[in-house]
Amino acid sequence: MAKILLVDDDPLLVRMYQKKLVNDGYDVQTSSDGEDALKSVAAFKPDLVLLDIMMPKKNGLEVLKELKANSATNGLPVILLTNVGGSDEDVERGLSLGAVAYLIKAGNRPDAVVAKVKEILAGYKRDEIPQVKAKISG
Amino acid sequence: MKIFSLRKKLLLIMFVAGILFALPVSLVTYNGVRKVLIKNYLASNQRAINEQIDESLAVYKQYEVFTKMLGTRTRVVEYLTVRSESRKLELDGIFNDYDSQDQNILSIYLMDPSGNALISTDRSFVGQNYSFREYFKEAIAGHPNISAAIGATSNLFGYYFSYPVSDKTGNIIGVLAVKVKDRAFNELLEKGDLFSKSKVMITDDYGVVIYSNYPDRYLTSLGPLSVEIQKLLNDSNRYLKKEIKPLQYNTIQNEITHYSEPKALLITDTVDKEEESIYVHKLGNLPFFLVAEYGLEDINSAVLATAVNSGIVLFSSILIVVTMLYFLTNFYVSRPLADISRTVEKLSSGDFSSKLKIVSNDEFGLLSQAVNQMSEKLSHFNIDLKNEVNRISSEVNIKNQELLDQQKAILNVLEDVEEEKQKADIQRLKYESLLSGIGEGIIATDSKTKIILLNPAAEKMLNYKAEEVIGKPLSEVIPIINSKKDVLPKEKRPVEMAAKLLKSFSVDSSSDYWYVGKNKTIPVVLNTSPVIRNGKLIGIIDVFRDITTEKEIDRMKDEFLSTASHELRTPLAAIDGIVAMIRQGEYGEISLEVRSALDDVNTASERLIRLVNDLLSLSRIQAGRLKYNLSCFDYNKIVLDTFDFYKPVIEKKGLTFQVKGSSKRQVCGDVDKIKQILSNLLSNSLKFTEKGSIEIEVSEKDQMVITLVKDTGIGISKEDQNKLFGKFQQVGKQTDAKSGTGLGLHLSREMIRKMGGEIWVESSQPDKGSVFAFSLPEKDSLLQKKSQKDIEKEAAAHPDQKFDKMEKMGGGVI
Repeated sequence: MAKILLVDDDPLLVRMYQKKLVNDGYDVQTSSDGEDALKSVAAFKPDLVLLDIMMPKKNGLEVLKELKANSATNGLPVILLTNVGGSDEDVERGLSLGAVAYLIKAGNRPDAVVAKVKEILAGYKRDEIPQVKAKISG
Repeated sequence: MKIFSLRKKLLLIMFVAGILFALPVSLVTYNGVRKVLIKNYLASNQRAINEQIDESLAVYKQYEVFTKMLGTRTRVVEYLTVRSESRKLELDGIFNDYDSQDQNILSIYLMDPSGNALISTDRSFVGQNYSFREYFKEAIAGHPNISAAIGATSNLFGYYFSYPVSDKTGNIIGVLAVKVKDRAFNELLEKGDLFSKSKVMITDDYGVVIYSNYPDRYLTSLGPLSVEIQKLLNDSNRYLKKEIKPLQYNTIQNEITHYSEPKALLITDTVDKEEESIYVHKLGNLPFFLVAEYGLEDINSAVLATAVNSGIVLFSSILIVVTMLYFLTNFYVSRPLADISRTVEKLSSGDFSSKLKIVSNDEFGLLSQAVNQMSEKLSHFNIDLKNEVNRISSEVNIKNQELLDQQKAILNVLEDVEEEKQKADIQRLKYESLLSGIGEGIIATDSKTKIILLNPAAEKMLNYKAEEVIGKPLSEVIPIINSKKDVLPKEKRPVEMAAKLLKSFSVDSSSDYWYVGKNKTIPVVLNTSPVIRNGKLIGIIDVFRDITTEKEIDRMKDEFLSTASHELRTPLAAIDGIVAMIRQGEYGEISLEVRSALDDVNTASERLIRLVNDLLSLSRIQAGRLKYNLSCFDYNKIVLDTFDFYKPVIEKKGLTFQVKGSSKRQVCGDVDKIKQILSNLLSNSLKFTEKGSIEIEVSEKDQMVITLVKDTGIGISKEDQNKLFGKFQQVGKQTDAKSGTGLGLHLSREMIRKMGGEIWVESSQPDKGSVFAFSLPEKDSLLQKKSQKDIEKEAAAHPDQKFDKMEKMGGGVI
């Protein structure tokens, strides 16, 4: 069972995505701010992170930067969640920092989000990226 | 008083005029004579050269005929057909006989078709291969040839005459060649008088000198040889790869390589700066040219002598004429004048008694008569003078009075003018108060765009006192910048353009113009107009308004829209997502009744999402903040992509769907937006068509690619057609499920116009169906270039442009 960390400060959306992911058989934990997210990554050791950009305490891009700077977590696939009004520059920066994909929250129903999660995880399994594989088997 | 008499003056004038006349006459004579002489000289030289050429040609002809005679001899043909030793010996003998008869013949030899010399009167030739030689190449190709070259075996210069040997059937089976000493021709040249008078050169067809009476010119070229020619020379080994230095006759070289007819050229030698006449003459149809060079020193000296002679003759004539004039004027002018002057002198000293003797019947006679009469009159006049003086002095008194009166009149006029001025002042005050009352800033300039007026509103907005800027150029004192602080170049400023083009220019709030005042910068809208009186520019009026508040409101509106959309979209996404999940059974089984209610919730939420999306697009478009990602592409691909996407849905509804026509043209624009426009039309058709077909048709017209979307749906009435492209327009009766936001066609039109196209209703009839059409300009057409420029301009003015991210549902994966 793959472990997903869902990070967003909007409880409504968190509950919605969590329900869908759990229904589809994922082990899901949630965080509502950046600092908490980093702690959860260390404790929960997820296989994939869904990461909102605009958040209190530490924003998504800062979290992403720290994840990529840490050798223990730099192979962890991160999908950015962004708002409609969010800036293109943030998305571009996120992708250049090493996020594997981005999703516009308002434009994607929960099933589309899960489909993307499946796609990314499958891709990582296929490509057998060592760090990720280690995470999955561990 | 010292007198420089009239006579002497006359003489001097005559003398100078004579010289002035003689000089140009001499010059004209000089040039005229020179032309005639040169012409004669050239003609006589031409004759000599023609004769020389005829003689030389006769000699060439002689050897040409000789070579042909040998080349067509039966024995030669027979030997080449059957190469028996006996025939070879026989031929060898024949060749030797001919060779010994003419000492100018260097050798006679016969080559097989590969260029190997089989028989030769010069033994050293036998066994050599000459296939690289031009004369061989030409002859083996069937053309008898004459060329000049240095022998590869003998190292001797000579002329090569070649002739193709053919068998009875006409096949070329070998080449016969005769090499002739160049002396055979040169002797002739040396005998003629051409040699004594000129520098003569014989050159080949490339301008390489192969003979000259100036030996140092041998194997030089008239001008530099092109790389191409150097290669040809090397390949054929014409001059054994000897170095060929260029002379300085580039013109002549050019004349040879582009020869059309014999020519005589006058050129100035670049070395000694002397004029020379040079002849270029082709030797018949042979690849040789005769170049003869004549100096023009003889002619020049002959001409000079003629000119000097004519000058001397003229000068002497002038001297004689002047001398004669001297005596004539003395007799007819000077003496009578001296008499008259003496008499007049007496008159002036008050002696009215002396009389002149009237001697001649010419003007001097008349003058003497007149002087006599005057002297008589003067004696009477003297008496009347005193009375007259008295009369005049009384008149002067009267005149003085008149002057005083005039002065008074002028003073009155001046007072009137002052009054007028006061009236004008009042008028001016009225205008000034009018100007100061106006809220808009007004700057007036003269025709040179120097400030002449600044109204109080303008003073306040720009923080300048009028007197600080009046008289200074507007473009320098008050620069225009944009929000990025780039200064607008002077020539692009409305005031300068108005002065130059005599047209009004307006800048509206969508532009980014800021006036820079004193320690103050304000965003402005402005209108600049030239003032023209009687067709002449007399000044420019610049009216502007500070739009700081508008800008602020604009910014707040954008901010509000962005925030509102975010705030609306997040809960909407939650509603939409959760409803979808409930309907999919993620929260457990649901009853049919609940499902039907949720379907309605879903429809409503989808509609709300679309509305928010369209509103966002609209506000972006209006603010010029919708980003266009321009590229040029194959239009068919866009159509087919969209077709593939819609095919399943349309066919699911039981409608047929097809694409007709295609365009090979490239169109330019934003692919996503064009797809969005086409999709919008297709989904409208799908929405309003229950049976029949939907069709896309692509065609080309002028420089446009036209796309038609045809359906057999409910159609639109004439009056509704006009409203279709407005904001929030929905026509016809609608069921809830079908209703759109009413912005789709409006947005489509805004976007397609931006990309240089247009969208319209081609035809529509209620219950029959509709045809919608849109056009896009093809790549590199005027419209396309203009729209691209406009889009780029807008992008530059709005660095914060964004794509509509809603268009890209589903995000992306790298």
